[in-house]
Amino acid sequence: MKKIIINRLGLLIFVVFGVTLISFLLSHVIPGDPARMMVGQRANEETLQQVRQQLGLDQPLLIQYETYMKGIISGDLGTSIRTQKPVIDDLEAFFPATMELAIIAFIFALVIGIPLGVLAAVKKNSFWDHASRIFSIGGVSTPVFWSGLVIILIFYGYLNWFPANGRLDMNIHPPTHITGLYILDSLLSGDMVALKSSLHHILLPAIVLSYAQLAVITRQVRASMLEIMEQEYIRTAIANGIHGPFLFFRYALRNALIPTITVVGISFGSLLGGAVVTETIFGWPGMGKYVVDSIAYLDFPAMMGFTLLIAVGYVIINLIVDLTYYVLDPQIKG
Amino acid sequence: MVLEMKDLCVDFTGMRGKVRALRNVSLSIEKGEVLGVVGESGSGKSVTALSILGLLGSNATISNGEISYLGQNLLRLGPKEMQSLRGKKIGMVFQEPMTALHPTMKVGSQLAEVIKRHRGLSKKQAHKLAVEALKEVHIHDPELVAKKYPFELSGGMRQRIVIALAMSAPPDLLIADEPTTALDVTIQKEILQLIKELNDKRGTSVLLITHDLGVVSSVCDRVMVMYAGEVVEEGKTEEVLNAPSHPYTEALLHALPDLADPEEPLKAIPGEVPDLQNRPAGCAFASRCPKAMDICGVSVPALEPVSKNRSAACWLRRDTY
Ligand SMILES: Nc1ncnc2c1ncn2[C@@H]1O[C@H](COP(=O)(O)OP(=O)(O)OP(=O)(O)O)[C@@H](O)[C@H]1O
Ligand code: SF4
Ligand SMILES: [Mg+2]
Repeated sequence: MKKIIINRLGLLIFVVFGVTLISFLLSHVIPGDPARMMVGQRANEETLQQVRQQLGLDQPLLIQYETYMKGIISGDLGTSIRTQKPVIDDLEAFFPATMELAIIAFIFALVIGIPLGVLAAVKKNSFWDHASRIFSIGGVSTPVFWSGLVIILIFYGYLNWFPANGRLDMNIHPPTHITGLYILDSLLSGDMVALKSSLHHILLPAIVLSYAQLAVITRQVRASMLEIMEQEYIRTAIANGIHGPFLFFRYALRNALIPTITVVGISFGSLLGGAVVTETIFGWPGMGKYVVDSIAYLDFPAMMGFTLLIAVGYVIINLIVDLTYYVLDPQIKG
Repeated sequence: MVLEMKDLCVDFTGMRGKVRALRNVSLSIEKGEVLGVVGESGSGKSVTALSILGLLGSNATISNGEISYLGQNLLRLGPKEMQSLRGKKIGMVFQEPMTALHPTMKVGSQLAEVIKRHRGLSKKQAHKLAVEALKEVHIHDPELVAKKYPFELSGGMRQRIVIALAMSAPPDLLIADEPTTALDVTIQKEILQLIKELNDKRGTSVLLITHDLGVVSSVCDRVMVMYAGEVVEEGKTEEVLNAPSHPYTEALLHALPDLADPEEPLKAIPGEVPDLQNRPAGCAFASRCPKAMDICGVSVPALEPVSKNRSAACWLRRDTY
């Protein structure tokens, strides 16, 4: 267990180094001048140079990178060109919204995807299997911007059952800030009004965001369930009178989940990444929206901060995946 | 009669079409009796065993025959009734103890789940009985073993646990499909002793599949010899082994390693088992039989009594009884 954690934390250092280096270099080869963006087309050369100096853009590349890395070590990701605030503060403000959306979408994907995969495997080649296959193909082949718009059109446009914008109704105050996750915060502070409104707002974007992952999880669970059901220990269990849901969930699913975990881990990473589009469609004030706005503004510190955060997120998810393996499979020691 | 099988025919549908794996197989087991089933690989021993508990795969069809357990026709049972029979009335032990147990469940929990199911007990009571069950199969320190995962145990230990699982109800009939083949010789003896002991103590009937005639002679009351999906000889163990009626049984005995002279290489039966897909007309053993006659290649000999306690399917034995 310790070995796994130390291993992954060692990896983290490499990832941080690699990702910052690449994103740093990229930000300097991409044509476009952030200083020019800031001062506008009509500013004169003098002002431009002044701003360059302020941003440190006049320094040699290596010095700039060194300054940036030093900052990261002390927890400073630079200052956003667009918002003029420290990037770390901006991420802190927007990250919880993205995290909340990704978590809820993830829960949907698991809670629906796993039983659907089991059902498809147990009733192989039946109506349920085919239905789940079509549903899954829909999931992986429908782009989020399309399914998002269709869902908004139906549930907001025609039916008007759900809102299509933001995290809360306009007239409702956010719950007391504890974690920044509105659902959790409103539960913790007993704010039922905020809870109801935030659940109401998160449902549509979470469904849209989860659909593609749900499909992947369903297919993976089905495939590994079919494999496990062929194993001899399942035959022993059946010969000993174990049957029905108990056999599928207690005996088979547990082991079918082991190969599924990697897929699930990657899936959560994709959720964080995929949130960019979903957030834009649903006006969700998360990091996705923040980064899209930053790109439009050539706000390199903000983009690099976001990239770094996602990369670190992936490493942490990998760590969680490894630890879950450890818990599910007693044969992995050390 | 605990179990009776009559004229069972089983077909497998595969890529090359239909194959008849069992042809008119009949057998019966009395209460407390140990029936041995022997035959070369592919002779249909496992298919016979699996058909009893309805564990044949979806590519199998039972096209003829009857299997009755205490007078109840098993082939007419619905899935629910069959499930409640498995493990509870008829237990089964498989050949490969390394893969027969759930790899990520502690052995105590596996036993407890099955016991809970058979006897409708609480989790706690079931766990207590699980430890008892481990003691019954002579596992020292059962409390400790109950907390182990299969991969932490030896093959012999695992097979004891598989037997404990199959015997937990306890069932009236235990089917053991080559329970010792995968084990070391010394462990084989212990496992056989254990099965024999459970049979003596509880009166459980046993269907013991093996390809080892030594095993048959040490534990079986009666023996049934199978060849190419058919029963060729059946009778009391001493009688069959001392004076085989069927040339195939004779050949099997001949191929037995000579214990007095371990240097001598194993004698294999010359020739090959016929391809079930293209079963020859007449006696299936004819191509390898040293005593084959004209009629053997033309017409199939039926399994018929040749003496008081014995049946054989061979043209040589017709009209002798
Ligand atoms: N699931 C299956 N699908 C197709 N054919 C099968 C299947 N199971 C068994 N058979 C066929 O049935 C025949 C009998 O097989 P069976 O497993 O009963 O042999 P066996 O006597 O148990 O042999 P062994 O000593 O190797 O265990 C074989 O020819 C085999 O090819
Ligand atoms: S019937 Fe003929 S071929 Fe078959 S075993 Fe008897 S003698 Fe041999
Ligand atoms: Mg077999």
